[in-house]
Amino acid sequence: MWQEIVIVIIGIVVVIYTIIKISLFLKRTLINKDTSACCSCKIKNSCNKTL
Amino acid sequence: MKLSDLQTGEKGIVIKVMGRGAFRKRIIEMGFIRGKEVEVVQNAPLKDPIQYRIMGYDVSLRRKDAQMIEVMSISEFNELSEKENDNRTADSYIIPASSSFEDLAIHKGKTINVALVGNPNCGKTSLFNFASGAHEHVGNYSGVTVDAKEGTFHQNGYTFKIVDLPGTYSLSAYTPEELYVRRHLNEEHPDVVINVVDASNLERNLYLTCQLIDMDVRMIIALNMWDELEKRGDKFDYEALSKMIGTPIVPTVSKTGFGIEQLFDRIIKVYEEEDPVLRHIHINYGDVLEKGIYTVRHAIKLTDAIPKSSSKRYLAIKLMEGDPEIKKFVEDLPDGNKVIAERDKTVSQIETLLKEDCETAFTDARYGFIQGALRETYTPNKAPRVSKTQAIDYYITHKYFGFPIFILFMWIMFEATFKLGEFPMGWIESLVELISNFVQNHLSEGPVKDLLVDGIIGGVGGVIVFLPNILILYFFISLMEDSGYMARAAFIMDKIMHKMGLHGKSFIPLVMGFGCNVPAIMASRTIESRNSRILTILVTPLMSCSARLPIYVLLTGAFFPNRAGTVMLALYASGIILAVLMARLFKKIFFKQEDVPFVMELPPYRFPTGKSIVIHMWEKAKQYLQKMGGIILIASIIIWFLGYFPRNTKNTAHFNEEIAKAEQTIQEKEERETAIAELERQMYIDQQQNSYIGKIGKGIQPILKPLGFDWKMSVSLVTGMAAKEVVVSTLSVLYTGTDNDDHLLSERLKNDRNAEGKYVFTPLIALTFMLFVLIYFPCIATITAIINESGTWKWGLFVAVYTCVLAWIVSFLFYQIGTLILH
Repeated sequence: MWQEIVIVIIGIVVVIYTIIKISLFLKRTLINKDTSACCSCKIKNSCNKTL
Repeated sequence: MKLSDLQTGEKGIVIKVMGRGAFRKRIIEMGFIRGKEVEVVQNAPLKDPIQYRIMGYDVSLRRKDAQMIEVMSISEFNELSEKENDNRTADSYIIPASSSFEDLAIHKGKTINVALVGNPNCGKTSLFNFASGAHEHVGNYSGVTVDAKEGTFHQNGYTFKIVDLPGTYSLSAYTPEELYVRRHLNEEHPDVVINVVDASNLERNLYLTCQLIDMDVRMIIALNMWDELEKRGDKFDYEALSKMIGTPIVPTVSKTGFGIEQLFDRIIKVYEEEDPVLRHIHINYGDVLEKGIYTVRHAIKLTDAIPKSSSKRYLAIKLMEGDPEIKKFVEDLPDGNKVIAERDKTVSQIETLLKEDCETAFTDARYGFIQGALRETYTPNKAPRVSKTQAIDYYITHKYFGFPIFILFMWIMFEATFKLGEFPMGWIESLVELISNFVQNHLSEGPVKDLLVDGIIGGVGGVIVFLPNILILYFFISLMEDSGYMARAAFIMDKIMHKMGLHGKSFIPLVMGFGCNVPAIMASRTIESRNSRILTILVTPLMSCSARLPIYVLLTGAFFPNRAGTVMLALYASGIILAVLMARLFKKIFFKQEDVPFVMELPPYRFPTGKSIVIHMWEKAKQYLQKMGGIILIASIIIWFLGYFPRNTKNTAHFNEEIAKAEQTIQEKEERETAIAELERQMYIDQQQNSYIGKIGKGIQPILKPLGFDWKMSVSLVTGMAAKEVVVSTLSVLYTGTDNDDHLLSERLKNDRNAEGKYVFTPLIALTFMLFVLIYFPCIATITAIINESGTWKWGLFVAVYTCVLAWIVSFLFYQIGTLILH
């Protein structure tokens, strides 16, 4: 019985973790137009300007 | 915060004055020195200029000039002291315990912002890594650094904030990295610029130095690779040159750390303006150009809209050179058109007089200045000699031997990756098996045990065993990058690249793609033309990255153990050939314009340092292990869940009855056990096929069946879209086999049979599968990088679609033709 309970808990944790990860990824790519490649650069969007 | 940010009535303490030359000197003379209190008296009606009170008298400054003074306000001080009391950070030793307002401001002023500027491949990143303790990627070819990297480091009570900028030959506005470096210097105003100069190539490196002198930045020269100059027996009086150009020069060897401490000691002196050598000079461009500079500079001065902190001489030179960005900047000024008219008149006069265009005249004058300076200070060793580099290059880039040597190196790399990797792989496999057996024996039967053994240990353990192979591959890639062979490989491939429509410079990002496609796509920024850049980005995913290596090692180990190196070489070569063919096709369809010419640089051979190779390997191992604990673990658990449930199918009861019947009716033990094993295998296949993942797999299978793939392979290809390693972990979880099966995944794959009893994997299917993995959808991270770098969704989506279609076509042809030949 305890194994079934543990499996259900693991299932819930994995689903929540996956949803959070996917949302963060989508937020980064869809909403934040600042490229992650430029995160260390203080000149905002300079790479996109030149591309 | 900047002085211009203070509100009327607010007080602040001066931390530092940025900027240059006469402007900076005048501001300091006015009393704006570190630790002095300044108060905003009032703003003019249009908020410009602003009246300040310092040392008891009032001065008025323009807002743009006030932006060049860094101050600390009372609120900022309170916030900082509170934070200090709560949590003293690692660098707090530079902040005094009894933090008074002035003390804190003075100590904050001991933070020096340093920018590393220099030609590509002159050792900037090595210097940055040595000074800041960072582990940024370095390689013996140009274009490794494509964006700014920041690091912090302390020496003698000062904190250095170092920014490693991409390598650039000049500060014109032709390439993205040139613009990037120039904007950083203009907008971020670093306190001190370290101009890293390659001592083995002074003439070309000093060209950038001349432009930095024109910009009038506070600069120090790191004469890097000093050991190579000494080894050649050349004589260089760098102290004389240092006095000549008013810039301190410190010899360094960044890979060993020689001279780095002295360099930063000297930076402190430059920052505090205590260096005896430091002075601003003007490069003499000759009478004609100097008169022109004077005229244009005078016109710029008359506009009265340019902040005092900008060098008018620099603006005049750039304007005369026809720099589009500076031209636009001047045009937007109130009297900008007058300046442009004056520039046009002056330039046309100069061009008539000199019979060459103004930009060339400036370039010639700079090289003239460099030659003159070097004639007085530099004596090359006259003994005739063939350098080691020349001797090696004779064979390595030979028109007949070049290619066979390149292919041989590649073959050795793959063979070693496979053969040498077998030993540590075996150890890790034994360890994984040990853990698996421990869980098997100590946990009671149930879903948690199955999850641990088949899902987590099976999935993650199935991928982790390939870590040694990846490290060995990286060892060879680092060796080739650091020694300078990679640049030769680019040289050998250059002509083919051009013939096939790719830019010669594209080879570097493509080669980087063998490691990981994401930095490779970012490295394409060094390509000047947008067309070539996009074209390179489109074909980079066809370069087989290290994440695909576990799949190759697994399948070649299972089906071609004696020809592993050759099979892997063929796969990598297929990737390159396809990339070249696709580039030619895309060029014809999308990018018909002619390319800009490119000069390939061949850096001298350098012996790679153990430290650099270990850093490369360590970074890769860290990244791989992080993936294990993240995406691969989660994917394995999800795949296991989808494959494990639902537990009972409509046939389960029937199989259980059959097993019970066999136990009772078959008398002979051996025969009974065989029959039961077969029934259990059938039941296991039935359960898997009817599980959630089985249904998904069956849904996809019709698309992939013509390639010879079963539903489990189809599922692994879908999950592999997240990251290629997940293909192996999925295969690991799905091909668990029944209890009496082999423990090794490669054995399980070889022995797996479908419901009809036929082998699922054959050597031909294994090859087709590897080919498909090589070509299809790179991974989500790569697609994101493509979208970011191209600035549009269009190209990301295009790569996702074209790679899948291409993979299907190539694999289909390969499998069908293979089947025809074999039967």
